[in-house]
Parts: sequence; structure tokens; C-alpha cells
Amino acid sequence: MRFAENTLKNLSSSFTGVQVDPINYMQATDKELVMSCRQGNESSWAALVDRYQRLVYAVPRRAGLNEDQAGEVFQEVFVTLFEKMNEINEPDRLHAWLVTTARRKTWRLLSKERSRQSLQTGDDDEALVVVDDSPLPDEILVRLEEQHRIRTALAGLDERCQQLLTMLYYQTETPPYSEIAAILGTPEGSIGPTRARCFKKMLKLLGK
Amino acid sequence: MNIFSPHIPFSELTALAEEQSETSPEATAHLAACSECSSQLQLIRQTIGFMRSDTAEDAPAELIQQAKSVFRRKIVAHGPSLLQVIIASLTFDSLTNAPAFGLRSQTTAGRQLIYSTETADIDVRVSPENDQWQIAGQLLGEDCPGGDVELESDDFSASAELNELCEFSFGSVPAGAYKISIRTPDQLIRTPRLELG
Repeated sequence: MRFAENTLKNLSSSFTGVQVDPINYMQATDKELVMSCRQGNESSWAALVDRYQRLVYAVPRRAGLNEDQAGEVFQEVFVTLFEKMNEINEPDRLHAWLVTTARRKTWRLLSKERSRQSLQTGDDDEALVVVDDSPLPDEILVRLEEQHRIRTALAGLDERCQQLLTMLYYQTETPPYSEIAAILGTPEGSIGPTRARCFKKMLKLLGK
Repeated sequence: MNIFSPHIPFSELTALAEEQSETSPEATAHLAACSECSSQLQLIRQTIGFMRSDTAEDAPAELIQQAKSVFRRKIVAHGPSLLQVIIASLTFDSLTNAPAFGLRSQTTAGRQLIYSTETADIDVRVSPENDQWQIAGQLLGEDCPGGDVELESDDFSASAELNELCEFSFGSVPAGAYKISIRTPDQLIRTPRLELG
């Protein structure tokens, strides 16, 4: 396995007492986190993993890989990210880099798995028939990226807005307003205006 | 719409997007005429659609923990300051070098390349394998301290470990321009790109 030597050199500074500027991990941009990782800030690395774990895991799962296989892809993607930390030219497009890397590693694993199966069955033709290079069409990946962006924006909102929008849009069944109002400790009539305010803030964070 | 703005208030747009309120004839007429309000309504609907269809699951906690530990593990396992990076240069390529002493020139059977550094050579042999390629090689030097090898193009990458003879091989390699990186405990040797196919 190859290592980004400069990254390692820089990262080693975190163990030699180099101070890194304080950073708000929740609200930091990808670029800020990447730059901070390059300076050897382990917490920024953890924040990147937290931010992207769902997206990276979703790619192999959407392609139909089981939990173990998806776990393998997941680990490989983060090891690769670590190793190439200094080679990422557009840190603010990290989400796209991660999705592309996860897709490649997913394809590779699928391809390996199919070759193994065809070897076991001894049927060379089968490998030719079953290899499908597009288990992850672009529109699915675009959707995953967009959903990730929205979740990241949501995480940048205050807790009350996060709670409200999560109850309204991320639950299988939206609870009745009376229940939401009780949970938030607010009059039922204020749910609509609060929702609009929170939504507007979120769109702003999304740059829309 | 109100006396301060000719547009539909955002709170009303979010209610319309959720289809909680019926669109009044006045609002319908405004939406038909106002591209700003209709595109904002569309954006809200689209965003709600993304949120409602977001069924992505969290990765298992132990996977997340392992990924976080990559940072410390890599640094502890490999003394970074001791790592020396060396770019090897191509000193022999059977595809371009003239054959010596009556040896047959390049055939379709394979191609040999030698990359050299001050302290070691890398012998690389490339041969066709169906529509793809097989790459085998050996790190030639005084001793073999072990290590691993990464083969990488823009579209493909694979890794392998050096065996006790410092050999490595990769099968089913698609066409592309590849860099080979060999990492031993104290060196990272990289080759220039090798075109296959």
C-alpha cells in the first residue's frame, strides 16, 4: 500500500506539538477540514469520516453489495483518502472525489467477485454475461451527493431547526403537528413559520 | 403576496410545496406569471423530495471507528520522517532498445523494462492476457526488506505485497498509463508512467 509521504510528514507534526488553528468541525467546509488534516489535525480527519461515512457506505450498498463487502469498500476508500490527502486538487469537491473512488472500488470488487464465481463454476461464458459495469448509474450517484449536501447543510443548522426538519422530512411517517409541537415545546401554530425559517436557512447554506 | 412584496411569502411556498394548503386562484395565477416564485417552489419541492427519499444508512459504528483510526495507525506504523522518496528512471525497455547479440527483437509474448535508482533496480515484465495485461516484476537489490506495491492509473489501481524474493505481480490489468510505487520500510520508489495497450 502506498503512502502519501508528504501527508505523513505533515501529519506527524500533530505528535510533535505543532498547533493547529481552532476549527469548528461541524461547520467547517471540506476545504478547511482537508487543509487541517494536512497540518496533522486528527480531529479534522475524524470530522471528515463522520461527515462522509453515510455517503461512502451508501455507494456500495446501492450497488447491491452486502454489509461485509460494503465495509471492505468503505475502509479502502478512507485509506485511499488518507494516502492521497496531499494530492486532492479540489478539496471543495471532496464529495465527488469520494463518490468516484467508492464507485471504482465497488466495481472492482464486483468484478473480482464475478471472476471468482465463474472460476468456481468453470463457466467462462458466465463471466462475460454477468459483468455489468453500471450498477451505479450517474443519476443515483448525483442523488446520493445531493442528499449528502442537504444532510450536511441540515447539520449546520441550530438544534431546533435540525429537530424540526428531521421530524418533517426524514421520518417514514411525518408525526402529527400536535406531536411535533409537544416535542419542541412550541405552539402548533408556530410550526409552519418555523419550518419556513429553518428551510430558508438550509437553502442558504446550500448556496441556493 | 402582501402589500410589501409582490411575491408569494416563503412560508406559503413551503406549505404549497408540501401540498398542505390548496393553491388559491390568485397564487396559481401568480405562479404562472412569476418565474422567481415558481422556480423557488420547484426548488423547495425538489429539496423535500431529496430529503424524503434519503434512505441511506449510517455505516456500522465499528467501521467508522476503524476509518478514524487510520490516521493514527498509519503514522505510528510508519516513521514518516524516515521515508525517502525516490523516482526511478527507465534504463531499459525491450520495446525500444535494439536487441543484443542476435536475440530476437520484441515479440508479442512480452516486454521487459528496467527502472533504476541509485540503490536498486526494478525489473518489470509485461505480457498480454486476453484483452488485458499481466504485470510481474521484481525489486532487485542487496536484500529484500519486504514491502508493498501499488499499480495505479487514472481509472484503475491495485496493490500487492512483495514476496520473499521481492517479486510482485498483477493480473487482468486493463489498458492505461500506469505508475508503479514500491514501498519498503524506508523507501518509496516510484516509476514514470508506463503505457499499456
